[in-house]
Amino acid sequence: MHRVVASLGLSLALLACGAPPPPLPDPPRVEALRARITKARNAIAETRVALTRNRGTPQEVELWVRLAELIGEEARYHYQVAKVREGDAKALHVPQVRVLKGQAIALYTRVVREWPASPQVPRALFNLGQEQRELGDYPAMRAALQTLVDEHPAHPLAAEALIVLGDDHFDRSDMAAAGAAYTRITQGPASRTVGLAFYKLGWVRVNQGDCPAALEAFEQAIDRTQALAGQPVEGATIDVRREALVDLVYCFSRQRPPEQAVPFLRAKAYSRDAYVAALERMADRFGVMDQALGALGVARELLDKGPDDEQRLDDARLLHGAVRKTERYGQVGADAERITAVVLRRLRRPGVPEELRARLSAEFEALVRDLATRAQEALFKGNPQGKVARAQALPVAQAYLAHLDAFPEAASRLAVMQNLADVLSAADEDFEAGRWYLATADGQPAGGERARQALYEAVVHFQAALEAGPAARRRLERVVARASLRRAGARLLAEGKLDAEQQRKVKFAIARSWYDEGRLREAADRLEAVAFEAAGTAEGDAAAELLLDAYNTRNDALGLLNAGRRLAAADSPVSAAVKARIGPIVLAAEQQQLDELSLAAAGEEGGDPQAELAAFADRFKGTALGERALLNAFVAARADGDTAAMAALADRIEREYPQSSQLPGLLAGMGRAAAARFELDRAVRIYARAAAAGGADRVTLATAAGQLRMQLGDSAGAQGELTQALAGADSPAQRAAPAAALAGLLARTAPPAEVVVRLTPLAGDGDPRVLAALGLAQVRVGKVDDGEITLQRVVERGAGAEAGPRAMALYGQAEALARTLAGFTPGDDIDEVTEFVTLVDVTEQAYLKAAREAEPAVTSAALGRLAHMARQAGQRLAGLSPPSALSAEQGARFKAGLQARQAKLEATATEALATCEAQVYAQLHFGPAGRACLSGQPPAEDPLTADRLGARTVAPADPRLEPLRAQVAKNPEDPATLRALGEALLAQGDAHAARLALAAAVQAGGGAEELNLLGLAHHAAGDRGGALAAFARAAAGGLEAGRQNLADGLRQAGLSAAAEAALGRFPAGRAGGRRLGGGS
Amino acid sequence: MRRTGWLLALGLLSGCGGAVVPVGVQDPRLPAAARRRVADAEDAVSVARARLAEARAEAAETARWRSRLQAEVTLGSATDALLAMAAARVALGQAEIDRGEAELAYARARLAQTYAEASVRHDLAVYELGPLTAASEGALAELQARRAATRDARLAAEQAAGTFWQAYGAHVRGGGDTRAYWLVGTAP
Repeated sequence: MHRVVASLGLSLALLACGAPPPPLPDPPRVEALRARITKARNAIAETRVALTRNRGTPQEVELWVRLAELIGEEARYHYQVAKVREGDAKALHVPQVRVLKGQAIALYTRVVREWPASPQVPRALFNLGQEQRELGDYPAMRAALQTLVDEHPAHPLAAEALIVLGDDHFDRSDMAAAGAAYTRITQGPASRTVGLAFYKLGWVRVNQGDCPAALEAFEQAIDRTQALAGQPVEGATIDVRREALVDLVYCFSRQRPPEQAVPFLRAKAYSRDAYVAALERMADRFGVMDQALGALGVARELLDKGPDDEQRLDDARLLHGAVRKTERYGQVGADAERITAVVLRRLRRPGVPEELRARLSAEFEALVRDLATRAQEALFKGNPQGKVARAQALPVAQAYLAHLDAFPEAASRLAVMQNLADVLSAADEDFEAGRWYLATADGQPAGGERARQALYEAVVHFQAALEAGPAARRRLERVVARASLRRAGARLLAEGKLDAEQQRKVKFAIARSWYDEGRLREAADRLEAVAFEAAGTAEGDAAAELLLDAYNTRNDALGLLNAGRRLAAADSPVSAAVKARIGPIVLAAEQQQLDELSLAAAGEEGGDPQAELAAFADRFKGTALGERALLNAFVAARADGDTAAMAALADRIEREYPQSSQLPGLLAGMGRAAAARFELDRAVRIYARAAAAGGADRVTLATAAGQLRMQLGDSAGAQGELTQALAGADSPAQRAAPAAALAGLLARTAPPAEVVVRLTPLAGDGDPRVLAALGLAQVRVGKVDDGEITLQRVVERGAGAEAGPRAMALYGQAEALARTLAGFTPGDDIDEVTEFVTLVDVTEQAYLKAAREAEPAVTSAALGRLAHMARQAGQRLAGLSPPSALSAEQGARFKAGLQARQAKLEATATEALATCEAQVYAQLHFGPAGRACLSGQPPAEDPLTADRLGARTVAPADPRLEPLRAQVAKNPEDPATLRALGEALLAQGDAHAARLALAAAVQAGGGAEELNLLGLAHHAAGDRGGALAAFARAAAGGLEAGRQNLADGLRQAGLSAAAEAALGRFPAGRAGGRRLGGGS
Repeated sequence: MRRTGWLLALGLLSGCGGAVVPVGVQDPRLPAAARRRVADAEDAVSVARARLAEARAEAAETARWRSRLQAEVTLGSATDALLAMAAARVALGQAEIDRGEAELAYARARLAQTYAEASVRHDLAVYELGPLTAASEGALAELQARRAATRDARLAAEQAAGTFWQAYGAHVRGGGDTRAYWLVGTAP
């Protein structure tokens, strides 16, 4: 129990501690005053004691003045006590006040009298005047203060005295005297009193009816006081700057232009409070004066900066009236927002009675609407339907928007929205106009004429907004515009009450909106509908072009093609002008579709481009597009190395498009493809076919066919192809290649007489290869002079001549000399012998010159023939008898000289043969000329010939080779596949084809094995020189089979000694590789 | 039926492919070229999947449009042609889906094959590549067939569109009301 009580007590104690202390009432005013009286009396007593102690000292006067002030202070406290006790009684009877003030007056008077020179005198006089004024003794007061002013004009209290004197005059309506007193202060030094004096002077001028002077005085009051702002203020009882600003309003409104009121007050006001106070006074003043222009600015400023109180509603009303009266609508939007803001703040306050709320809402809704509609009327004045400047229209729209925001329930809302949309439309604010027209339509009864008109306007404006381009609208706005346009358009179309033109425009706008949005599939269906429905109109034409563009943008070439054809068809209603524009587009689309198909099909994994393109060609059979599709299919087949498909396609092109300009090129491509697959007979046939088809490349193609036949050992066929090529050539340049090929072929395979016959007609073109072959043949048939002339044409070309023809020409010249030498027999005349010797020297030099040309066959032939010539010449010299004119001794010396000469020539022959043999291995030339050197015997006949290829065994088509051919076609640089193909061909007996494949394998980087195989193929084809060269290279590559095959080949050529030498030349190599005659 | 059989087979092979452990494109044991091949194969699956999703979405939209047409549209003599065009487009949408599925199946088969090849070549795992290669080739053949079918469907849709626009032109020239086309008939 005790614990409960204790706990409760503690809780209560804690609650008490936590609770706030009870409020203490202020001590009664009287008690406070009495306390001050006590303090004053204590001070008086102390001062009196001090006086007794300071008699005769300089401080005595000050102590007397201080004593008087303390007594006056006590008197004032007594007066205040009496006032508190007796209330606001006009006349107070307080005896002790009068007694005390009398004492104070006596003391001040004594000081003035007994210490007139004391610096305390002005203070004593001022205080004396104040005491007398408070006692109502105004004459005495005036006398005392006037004495102060007169005798101590520079003392600070003199200005205070003048204020009091001025006020006294003012109170007695003596404005002139008051003005004089205040003016005297204003002429004194700067002080706070000066500002106050100006302020009072201002009022004096007002009372005198002198507003200009009053305004100036008030401004001076503000400025002078402002100049001292920041200095300490003692006993200031009035805010001069604020009062002056407020009080000058009266005269300002009379003297200055009203539109300057706001800037003036703003410039002069030192605080917001003072500014608003002055504005309010100014608003009242302008209201009274019915000065709308001035009220306009003041009301706006008050609504912007004034406190939110009752007065703002009046300001809003004032603003409405001012705008309406002045008809200045430039800021009507901001004005409407000012008014609605004030009203909404008021309406949102809690506790506003509903009746007041409704009344205020109705009142200000009408005011704002009135402002906006009047502004709109002014906007369209004299221009009811026209466009207006955006800068002028936007404030009106802003006013309507302010109305719609503030008064959403207003009955006038629909009309306001309509007006807003009209204003935005006139200002070319299409997006916003469209939105508000749509909103207006939504608010109208469905199906009505007004709703329909609003919807149509919405469509038109949304479309205009979208046509302004992406830069003019944000993305969101564009999205909204499109969606809104389509919504409005659908409603209009559903109603079905649009006239034809409107319907056309709406449909086009809908279709266009899809197009602009990038939803091209949707756009295409609608644009095509417009193109058909509105054919011949601007919308129809535009729709047709946009339709094609939509397909083009989608990269849908097929769609574009078909749509274009539909539009361009004879029964299409589209205008002729559009059809004319569509034609080229369709054509381009066809090409594009084919290109895309080719690209896509070729790029697709597992795609079948040939089939795709062939199918396309079927669709466009007989047209240029169909032809091009087949050509592209052919290209694709060639890329795959599919010669069968190429052939089929070429046949088809030749059949369906016989006039195709691409046919020769296509056949040439086929030929190249067949050659790349080593289908050589096929390649020859196709080349020939391509050449026969004409075209710019006919000569080249026939030449290629001829060269290929040469490689295959078909000399007669090759001559035929080359002859055909020459027949088709129109110029020396065109003839050059086939002529050179023919010259080379004839030189290797035909008798010299035939060469002369065949090449003489071609000599006129001056081709060095032809001339060299012809000249040599002429020499060989004995037409030495003609030959020399012909060969000289080659040699005269100097360094510009090709190495081969030049070497051959030099060799021919040497052969001509050799023939001359052979036919020259010196008689019994020493001069003729000398001439013979000289001819030998010249011939030797000619052979050496030819040998130095670094043309392997010519080098070997020249050296061999040099050896032969030297040996023959030496023997002939040795057999000569001395001329009979010589003495015996001379004859013996002559004979000895000839024998020495013979020995030298024999040495030359031996050296030439040795050099030739060395050159055979150095230059790997094992042709007839080279082999002649290896035989150890100089060639008695001209050895510059070629091994004649044997008859070819054409292998039957073998499908097992197909993969190898296909692989080679795709990768012609693959030595392994080339070798495999060459081996296969060799195995089938087609050595001619095999050597081409194996040569390609060697060319692609094949090694000794490939070289050995190549040698076997050459050997089998009859190219003994080529075979020995290949074997030698294989032997050099370290392949024993190559080494042995080289030896065997030499033996078969009747060069057993050379074979043994060859075995000694190359060390034994590694095993592997096939041997001549089979085996490995 | 043939297509279903193939897809089933591919599904089974995908199960087999499931036994192929994916190799990571960041696997340091793989050279850069192998990682690139793996990344390309994975990328192909993502692309195929996205294309298929797109094809399905478009096809669904087209099917809805066709349903709406069947229920609501009346366009006089052009009505049948419009419905035929819608049917052709729905068929094209289905063909696109089929092709998308075949593309995805092929991409998955190629991915499994690529994982396995990379693993085998770089001694990460041992797989029998033959079935995986066969699966890829089978999927590729199926894809080619779907591509051809899609091309056929596209041509059919284009042909149907041509027929419709001819009928629509005649309808317009005859003064027919085209509102139904604009409110219901236009493609979504």
